[in-house]
Amino acid sequence: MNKLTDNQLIKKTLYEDKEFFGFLIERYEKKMKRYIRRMTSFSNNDVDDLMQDIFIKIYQNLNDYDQKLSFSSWLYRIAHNLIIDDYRKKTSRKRDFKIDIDDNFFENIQNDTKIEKTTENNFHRVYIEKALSEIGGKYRDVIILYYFEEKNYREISDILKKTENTVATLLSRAKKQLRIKINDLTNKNYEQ
Amino acid sequence: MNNKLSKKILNKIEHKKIKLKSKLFFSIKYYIFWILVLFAMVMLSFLFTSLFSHIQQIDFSIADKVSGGKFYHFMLFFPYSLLFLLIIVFIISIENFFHTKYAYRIEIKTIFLTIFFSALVISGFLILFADTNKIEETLQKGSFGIYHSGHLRRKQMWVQPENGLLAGSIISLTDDMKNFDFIDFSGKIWSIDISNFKENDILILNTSKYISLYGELQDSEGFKVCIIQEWEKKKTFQKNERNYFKLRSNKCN
Repeated sequence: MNKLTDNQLIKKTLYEDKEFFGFLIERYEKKMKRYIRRMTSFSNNDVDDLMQDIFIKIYQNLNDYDQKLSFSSWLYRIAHNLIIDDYRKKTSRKRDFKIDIDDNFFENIQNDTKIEKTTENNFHRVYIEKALSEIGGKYRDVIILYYFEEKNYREISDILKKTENTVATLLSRAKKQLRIKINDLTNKNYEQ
Repeated sequence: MNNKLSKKILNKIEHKKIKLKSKLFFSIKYYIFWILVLFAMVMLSFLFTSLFSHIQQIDFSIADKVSGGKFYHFMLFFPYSLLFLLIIVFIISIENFFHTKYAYRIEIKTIFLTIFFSALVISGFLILFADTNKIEETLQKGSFGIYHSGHLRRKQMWVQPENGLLAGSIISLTDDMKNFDFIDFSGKIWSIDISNFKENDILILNTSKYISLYGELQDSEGFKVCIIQEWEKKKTFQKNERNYFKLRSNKCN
């Protein structure tokens, strides 16, 4: 089944057997779980519940899927909306935001936001994490999609339902905000 | 499939009998917005057509006088219906933006301006090639209340018998062609004296649904006519009408 494309699996789910949908779930389970964790601070149980909601919603709306859009973007769009709705119900998005910053992301964000490079990388990781929790939700969304999920502008545009220009503007502002926050935090640390 | 989550989800789908939403449901959902856009565009083009033909037909020097000044005339003339429709078009654009498959790839202002300018272009074609009076009548007959009330105010502006102006339609014409009963736009019935009637105006009486009368008030129900014109006039008529209006002093020549 691994050889079948997303579109082929969808067709088989729609016209042959819904069991094929299980393979789609398996294909995207890890990615979705990681995405939810990056977007929220939910417990494992909450994440599992949300995962079920996302995939059931995907299943119900399979007839709405348009092959001109990548399945991944469509999945992320539905997931994104459900995550936001769920998070709003449970808590404020700013609180307890935690994100695992891997080396790749750390390098990219350092280069793109022109944060001063120091030997104190661990400090910077903490600052970036804190800064990410403090910037606006819409800015955090594009940062996560661009740097963590490695989506391009078109894909982010499809996921967030915004024009590519708006995505570019949001990303540019997000980086600016992140830089300011990180500089503030660094300065505060030096003052102490 | 050995995965726990996929099994759990498939079981839930089976157990709760979760069904796929039909293709038709989504088609209706999406196409309805585009149909609304088209509808709004057509309505907007009709309104532009009506507005432009009104501007084309109206003689502002007379209109200002009969409406009691430029401000009042502007208030009468202002296309509230157009404003109302523009708001609706804007709302539809936003709805489209958020609820259709690819509209979000286009800026909201682009959708809005496309509708607006397309309506302008269509109205240009309608003015050039269509019967604008029929469009006007259709708009009035339809359930477009705001348009109707605005149009009615403009019509009533021309019902000023004390100033020698009446507009409305003929109820019945006598055989000798000396009198006819007339109902003005405010609903009052008049007996119109057409003894000074010019022969070449007979055609207007026979063919025009609405007419404007220029003359003098005789009593509470009588009006003597000097000039009869079509309610919806061609631009070429206006110069004569203006000259007549300026020269006359509520007396037939």
